[in-house]
Amino acid sequence: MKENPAQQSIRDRLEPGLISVEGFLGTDKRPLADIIAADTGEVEAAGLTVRQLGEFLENLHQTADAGWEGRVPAYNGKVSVRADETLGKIPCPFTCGASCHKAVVGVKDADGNDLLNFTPLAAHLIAVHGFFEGKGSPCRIEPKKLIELYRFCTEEAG
Amino acid sequence: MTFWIAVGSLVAICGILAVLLVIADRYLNNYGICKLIINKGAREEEVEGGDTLLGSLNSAGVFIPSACGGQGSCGLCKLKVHSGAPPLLPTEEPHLSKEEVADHVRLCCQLKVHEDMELEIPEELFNIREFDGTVESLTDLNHDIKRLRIALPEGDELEIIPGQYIQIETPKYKKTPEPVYRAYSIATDPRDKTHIDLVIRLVPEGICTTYVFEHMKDGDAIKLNGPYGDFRLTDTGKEMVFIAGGSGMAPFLSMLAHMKNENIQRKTSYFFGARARRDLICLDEMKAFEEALPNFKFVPCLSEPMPDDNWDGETGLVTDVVKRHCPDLSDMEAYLCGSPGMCDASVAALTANGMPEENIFFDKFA
Repeated sequence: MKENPAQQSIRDRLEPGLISVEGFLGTDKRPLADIIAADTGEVEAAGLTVRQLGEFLENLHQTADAGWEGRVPAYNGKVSVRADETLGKIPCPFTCGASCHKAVVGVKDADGNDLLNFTPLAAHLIAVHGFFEGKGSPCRIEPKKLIELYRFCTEEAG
Repeated sequence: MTFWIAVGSLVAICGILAVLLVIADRYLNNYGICKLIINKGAREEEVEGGDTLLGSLNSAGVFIPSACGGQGSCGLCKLKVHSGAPPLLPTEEPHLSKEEVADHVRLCCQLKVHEDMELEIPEELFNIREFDGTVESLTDLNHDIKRLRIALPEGDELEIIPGQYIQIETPKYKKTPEPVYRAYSIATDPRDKTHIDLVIRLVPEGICTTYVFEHMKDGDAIKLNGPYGDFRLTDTGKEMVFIAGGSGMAPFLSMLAHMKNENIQRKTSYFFGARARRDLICLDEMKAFEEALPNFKFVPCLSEPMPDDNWDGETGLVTDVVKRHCPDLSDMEAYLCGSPGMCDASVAALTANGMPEENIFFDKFA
């Protein structure tokens, strides 16, 4: 499907070198709308919404932020989070006006095993734009992996 | 046969449309020369239309602070635009209050110059200068932080106030289509007017820091402009708390050098947060400041020391360590430099511990 000028303008901002070195599309050649539709479809098939998942990540980031680069327990200690932040903010490539902290948030389980690393911008892109980034992008989060983490953190035991 | 005629016609029509689009783009997007009328005509600049107002002013030698390099994320490049501006853009809205919108304030990195514009620019910004410097040295301070020392052109000098920042240009490289500017706090001893020192931490996927870490080398030419910012020490004489981790140490290196030069003996505690010993930087310099400034204390604090760090210093969250060292903050001042998350967490902890919010200062671009 051909992209309209607005989609093309967003796609241009997702390319390498404009907002980040490698950009947000990786090796994915599909139209932006197809990338979003495929990932959103996977999330909805699991009975969830992209907003739920994105806000879940934003919540983990906020918890980590309160810890000032220390590791902080979240979701009753099922996981711990830590934000490695640097100065400045990064704008949303969808030009919605949002800008996010420059950080990598690391999520570990109670035994200290790495579960997920994500950026606050990735959380925003999922929550607001349903965009998990293109295949091969350094910051892409696979929907399946995120759904598993969401369920692990939010569902009651037993 | 009919089929091939139809296909041929379609291709021809598409070709004609493409040519028309190119021609339209060439002529409709050509805004010609536009006039920037600054401060009621006190200064006028003619610029090529089509660029952002920030870029146009830069090319006319008027440098407006922009920590994010024109990406619309820092909100620093606010100017009053009285005429010639297009309607407010969604990317400007989060940075502008209702009062500012009513007062014609705009983000000049987002506006494009399409016609003559009338602007208001604070006089002090006309003193900002651009320099063609040279990379004198690039030194590892730890595994992900470097100190960049820039020599200014022979015979040129730059007077700074400790706490200020400058912008450096990253040229086109690898996949970046155009040069970008980023802001960094100045770490220089203010007595040295011929160099600029910066402390730069590698940002994963960051355009400017990746360039510094992977491409920059001694002797390279580097464009910079500044100084900017009003983050600076007060003259109240109150006891001070500095809080910063990583590259946030930069302004404090400059402030402490200034205190040493001027023999300012204010009681000062610097809480430096890091994960493990490998993340600490400038320990020798801090020790030298402690010796020169008897009322100065450097308190490194590790959140996750490694077993072989053999660390017997402070551990835990910096904000908790500050509480332990300074139980009553009500008559003290705090100076912060770090990520937005660090600044937010510190402000919350300091105010909860009795420090008035007006006594807390931090880099606005953080």
